[in-house]
Amino acid sequence: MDSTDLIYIENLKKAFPSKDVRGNKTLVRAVDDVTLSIKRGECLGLVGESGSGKTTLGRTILRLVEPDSGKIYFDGTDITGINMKPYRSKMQIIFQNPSGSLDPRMRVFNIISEGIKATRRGMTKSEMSAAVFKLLDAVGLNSTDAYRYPHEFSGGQQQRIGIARALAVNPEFIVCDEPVSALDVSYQSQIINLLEDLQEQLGFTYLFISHDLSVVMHISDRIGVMYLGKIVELGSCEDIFLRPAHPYTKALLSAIPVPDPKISRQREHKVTSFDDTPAGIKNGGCSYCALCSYATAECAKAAPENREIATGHFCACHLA
Amino acid sequence: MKHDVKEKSSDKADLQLSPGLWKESLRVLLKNPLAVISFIVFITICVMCIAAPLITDWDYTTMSMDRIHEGPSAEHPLGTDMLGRDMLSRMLYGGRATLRISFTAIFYSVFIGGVIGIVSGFIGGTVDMIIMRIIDAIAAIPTIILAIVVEYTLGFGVGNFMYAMAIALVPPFVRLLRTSVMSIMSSEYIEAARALGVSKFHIIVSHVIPNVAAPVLIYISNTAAEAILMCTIIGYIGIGLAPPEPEWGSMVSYGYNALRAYPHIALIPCLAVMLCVISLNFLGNGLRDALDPSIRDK
Repeated sequence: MDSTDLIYIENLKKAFPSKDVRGNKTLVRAVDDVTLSIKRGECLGLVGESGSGKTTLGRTILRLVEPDSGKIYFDGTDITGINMKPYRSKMQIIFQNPSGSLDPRMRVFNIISEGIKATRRGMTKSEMSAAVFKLLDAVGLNSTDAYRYPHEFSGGQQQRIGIARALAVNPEFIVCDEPVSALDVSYQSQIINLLEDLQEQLGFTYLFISHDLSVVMHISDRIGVMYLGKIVELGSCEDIFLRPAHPYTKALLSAIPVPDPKISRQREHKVTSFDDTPAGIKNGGCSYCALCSYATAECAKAAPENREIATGHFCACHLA
Repeated sequence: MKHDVKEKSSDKADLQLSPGLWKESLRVLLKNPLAVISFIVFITICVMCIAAPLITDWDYTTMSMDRIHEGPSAEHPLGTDMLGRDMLSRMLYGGRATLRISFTAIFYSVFIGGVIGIVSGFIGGTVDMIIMRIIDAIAAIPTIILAIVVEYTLGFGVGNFMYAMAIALVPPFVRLLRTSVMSIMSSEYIEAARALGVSKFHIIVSHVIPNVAAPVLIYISNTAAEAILMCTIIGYIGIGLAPPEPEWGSMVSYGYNALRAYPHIALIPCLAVMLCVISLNFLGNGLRDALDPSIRDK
């Protein structure tokens, strides 16, 4: 951890109890021993397939989900096991489902002012309205929208309300949990641009969770690739896209659709199946070795350490 | 996220700022003519039953064997029954019993069912499982059999009649509250409120209660209709109140014997039940439209 890190998490673990097909109790390791730092003012992208623990990691950092073990540092302070109240306003979240994240029986004004009421007390009514209108303006909505209900807005507008709600408490760090996945393409770019503009103006630090690599590539400074609760590769945007080291990252990149069918047909598809529970976990080997086309005998025996293969480029693979 | 004392004192000011959700709903409800008419009809029936001693001087037990099966007259506005008792006074006092039993039963079941349902929904896990299985067991007993068992063991009377109906009405309220609380607590807007540092108390006041209240209100108005019917049915099969206490269900069953010759004796209480049930159902529909911001038109 160094002084430029706003968020530093150390050996973070979170597992959920579950049942397998036969009804035996098992644990789903959603976040499995993750160590990660996010620098002040940067946007860290987090990619991975569904169920890889991206969302759980984001929510555990905000302690909306309590971690099983590990430490979370915010601006140098350990926030595990303390009262989160003073930190709530510094860390915010934008949700994937814009309509589900807004209370259907609340007007936009109250949705946005909820956070202000919870954190900044003693505001007069007029100060409050001024603050709400300013926020609406910042996210590109009209001040008259404040008196409408969430269902009267389109998905993109609802997402803007969600962003305004997060901004209301003047946060430093925002977890964007797939903020554009539920939107159509034209809204996606609008929201991405809005998030970038806001970062430029207000100096936010983002953790941008997505399964859409092209979106992440566009907005992120650094990218972490998650697979079964572990960060398997972490590096700058160029490292991940131009010099991917982990076989899983390569497989993910090969799955990006290409608009040209001729190129698309010639491409090698590295991923064939994600169906089975990887055998590697049980034997203590690399969790990806069952699906990895480069796997060796070593991969099945020992789990790879996260090594720095180039400056700032980390990869958890024996072969990298 | 424990809420502190300071927060409680500021809640009042916060609530004043919140939009007139209820006011708004009332405004929409008043625009719905069917709901307004239903409300007026139902309130009129209730007021008449409550004001029974002011409307009629007849005692509902006074018999007069030389004036049986009479039609409407100035003396007896709704005629007399097979024992020569004044139908109007029997209707009004009978309505008192029917409505009182139905509403008290609903009040008990909402209160008991609501508390059990909310506790079950919030706690979850094993406690929830045990509570819900007990509720399933209660729901499996047919209402009429439950009423028979309660009244034959504890005796006939208004109180026991109410308890029997209240027990029968508890399971649906428990289920409604439990599922509502569970779905609201797991929604993303609750998570967003937690992320904003909103206290648990405030989450309950500003998110859970408004979202639970609407389905509960709608359900109460629909269940009220059901309770009146249930009460009438139990009275009709003769396990309601002991005679000579009037009650709409038993009045229908007395009049049923002379339905061809003197239809008014059975049909008047039927009409009263029908008016109550229909108006409560329309009121319930109106409430549903008014309380859901996504349905109500602007």
